[in-house]
Order: sequence, then C-alpha cells, then structure tokens
Amino acid sequence: MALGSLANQFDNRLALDFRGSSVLNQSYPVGGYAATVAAPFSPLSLFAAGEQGVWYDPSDLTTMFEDSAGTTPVHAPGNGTADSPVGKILDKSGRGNHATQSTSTARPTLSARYNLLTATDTLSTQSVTTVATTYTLTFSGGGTITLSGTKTGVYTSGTSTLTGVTAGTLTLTVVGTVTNADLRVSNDGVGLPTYQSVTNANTYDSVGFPYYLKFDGVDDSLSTPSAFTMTTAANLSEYIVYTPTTSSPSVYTRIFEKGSNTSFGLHNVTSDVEWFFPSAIKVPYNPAVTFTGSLYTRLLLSLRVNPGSNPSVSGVAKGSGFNSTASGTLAISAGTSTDSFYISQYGGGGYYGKQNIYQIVVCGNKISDSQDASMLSYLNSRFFVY
Amino acid sequence: MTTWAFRTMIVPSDYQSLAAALAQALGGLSGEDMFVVGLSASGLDPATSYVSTGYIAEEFANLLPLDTYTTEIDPNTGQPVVVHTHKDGDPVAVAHLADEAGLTVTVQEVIDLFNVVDVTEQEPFTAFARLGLQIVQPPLPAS
Repeated sequence: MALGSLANQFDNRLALDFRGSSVLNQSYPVGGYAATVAAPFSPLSLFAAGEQGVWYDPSDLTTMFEDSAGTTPVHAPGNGTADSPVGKILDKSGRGNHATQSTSTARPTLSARYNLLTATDTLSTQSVTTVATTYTLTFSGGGTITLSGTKTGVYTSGTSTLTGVTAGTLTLTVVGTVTNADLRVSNDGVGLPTYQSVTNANTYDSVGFPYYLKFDGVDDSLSTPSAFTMTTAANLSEYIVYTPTTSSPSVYTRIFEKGSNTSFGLHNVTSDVEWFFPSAIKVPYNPAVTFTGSLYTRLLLSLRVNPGSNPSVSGVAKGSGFNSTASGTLAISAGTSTDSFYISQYGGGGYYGKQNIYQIVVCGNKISDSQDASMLSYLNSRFFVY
Repeated sequence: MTTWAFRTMIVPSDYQSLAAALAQALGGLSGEDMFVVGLSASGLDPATSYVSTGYIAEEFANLLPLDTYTTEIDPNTGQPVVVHTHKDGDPVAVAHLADEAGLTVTVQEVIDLFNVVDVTEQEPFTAFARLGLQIVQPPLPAS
C-alpha cells in the first residue's frame, strides 16, 4: 500500500474519531502536566459563531433514519439486508436543519457498494451493466476472464484498466479459478481497498469504503421541512463531495436549492460546466466553473461567495472567483414557508440529481483561504477524492 | 421494523391518478406524492406515463405484479440472454386494503391497472431504456 494511502487512512481515522466534537482545542492532562493539544479540524468550526447552514454526513450512521419521523435508524450497508432508504438525515452543524423525505420511493439509498460483481470470492461467469467510462478489473487465481459485450479481451490475474467500455451489458466469462474479483469505476475515489468482497446486492464488505447517499435522478431528494434564513450573498460557502452518475444531458447533478428558482448550482456533466442562476442569486459567477471528464469521477467542490476567492474542483483552482460586486441578500434568505433547503432537487419542479453524495457542508459565513485549505484536507482525507 | 423491496413502477398517464391514490391509501404518508414524474418517448410534454422508483414496504410489494429481467449465460452459445418472468399481483387484496383505508375501488379497476403497470426491480433508467421513455423535464428558468 502506498504511503499516501496509509496517511490518508490515518487522517481518516482521526477525523472519524473526532467528528462532531464541539471541542476544537482543549487542554488534556499529559503525565501530570496540562498540555494544550490542537484537536483535529472539524467542519463544526465553521459554525462556531452560530452561523446558519447545514452539514450532512452520510458516513455517520447515527445521523440517518429510514423513515422521515426518525424512528428507525439506518443499518450499515452490506449487512445482509437491502441497503437502507434514508428518510431523515440530521444536520451536524448544530443549527437543527435536518432534512427529510416522507415518500418512501423518493428516499435516497445509503450504500457503500463499489464492486459491480457478485459472488466475488470465487467468481463464476456473469453479466453486469456498464456505463461509458473507464473501469478497473482486479482478480487473483490461475484462471482467465474473457470480456464480451461492452468491452472485449482476455485477462489474467492482476489489475487491468479497462478503457473504452461502452454503456450496456458486459459479460465476464470465467475459465479456471478466479478469486477475489473486483470490477469498479476507475475514477470514483483513490486509495480505496483494491478488493471489495460481494456476495450479492445485500451482502458485501463495507469496511474501508466510504458510505454515500445514492440519488436516482428520477424522484429522490431530501429537504428541510421548514425554512431558515441563510445569510448575505457575500457570506456563503459550500463544500460537497459527490460523484455524478449520469451521462444524460437532461439529468443534472449537484443540485441544491433554497426555495424555488434559487439554485445553489447545477452541474451538467455533458457540458462539464457548473451553473449558478445569476438572476436568482444575484451573484454573477464569473466565469462558470468547468470540469474535465467529471462523469463518474468523485469530485470535491469548494465554492465560496467571497469576492475574489477562487472556487476549486478536487483541489484545483477554477475560474477567478465570484464577481467582486457580489452584494445584497441571497434569495435563499427570503424566509418564506417555501424556502426549504433541497438536496438533489430543483425546487422549481423536476430536475432531480443523479449522483452519489458523500458530504455536504453549506455555511453562511466567509471562509478564509486557510479554513478552505483545512476543509479540503479534511474532506479529501475522509473520502479519498484525489 | 419495515422490510423494504426495491421497485420501479411505471403507469400510463390514464392510470396515474388511480395509482397515486392507491399508493397513498396503502402507504399512508410514505405513499404520498408518488407517480409525479412524467415520462414520454421524446422527453417532452405531454407525459404518456408516470414513474415512481425506490423502496416500498415488502408487504405491499408482494401484492403487486412483478416482471423480472435477468441476464443469464446461454450454456449452448456462451452468450448472455435476457430471461423474462412475470408474477401476477393480488388485485383482490389490494382492493380490500384500499377499501379499509377509505378508498373506494373495484377489483376490476385494480385488475385493469395491473394489466398496464410495469413493475420491475430494474434501475429506473434501465426500465426507461427498455420501454423507450425519457423523463419529461420542465424548462429551467432563464439565467
């Protein structure tokens, strides 16, 4: 395992142990002496002064419930029963902006599935559905796998990168003994365990694989049941870790919205452009953030409505920041009864996002460059983006 | 604790209101606002069908018809083949439960619905492709 991966996992463990802690720096007795130890960075620090916003953390099982009333906790993915629908996710910002979905079929699913194959410990011939992207095939044993359908070729044990896979049905014909077989999208995270044992859709190994909320792009969404006032335009920051899972030009990803026609942004993977709605939020985004090959690629997006601050995608600065004339109150602060915060849904009707979401932090505060760097480090260490 | 079953359910637009009413009657709050997403061959209005996809309580899923499409390997050719199987629903039980919930519906109306509804365990976009349908998206506001 690469040292970078080990470091990431160590950081991840620390982050998980201290997540949600309200204690950012504290004196701990060490050998009879009081020593001040800096606690690990937490997104909670962004809300320390009572800033409005949300922090949704699908990696934290204690914050999610299968029903919108919050009475049935979700279970860990892959434990032998169907992955949990999520009818309620608690807001960890401390502001109480919990998000719910009362309609059972419209709830996202909590998943940690990466390996497309089943019965992977000793593989038999099978077919899977693929999308048009690059995959990684890994397996052990003396046998071979012959691919047909959306990709062709004969493969022996080891790790192979499958480029040029098209959308459709991929058949893996097994000859001889093939063990510990894993087929996954190549760019959906880095440094993850190279093998995920999968028995079937309900039973798989989730240890070391970040959990995500799977939104289907048809009707899945979550929203806060009541309105809350966010902030002024010049004081909004947003972080999201997500994977776009659609290639359709009419299906968007990264849809967040506060009230109708006041979208935080849409990511169109066909044009590879991040959109804001300038007329609604009154903050011309100049220029639009462009991605490169974002389809089925895990992304860490940082958007700060601080005049002059640069947005970034997976640690790479994009564009030249928001228009320096940003001012006034965002439409999201209107505070009417319709101004809920929508996750993966456009409040004006239609347009549900097709995406896997690992983390959402939206804060009604300016985020400094150093805080931004801490956030990016924190999120990347937990979700293995780049 | 509820046991969940994944279903993608697509109904012709003529049956949208009946399907939505039955979902709400049988599912209560968790059955509200189902079948609100329109579909058509072109992706443009008017919608010819409506879809609801996701988890429903297994006890209700067992009352619905179910078409299953599995890809299996033909032992003679070594090529994948799609195997289609169909399970009938239970219209009598559905009509009875609807009546208990205060929704008046005849068994024949449920039978008619079951004859045209497409219920599978397929991912929604897989089902759309099989049926040649696209989501009808409303126009985005001008930016």
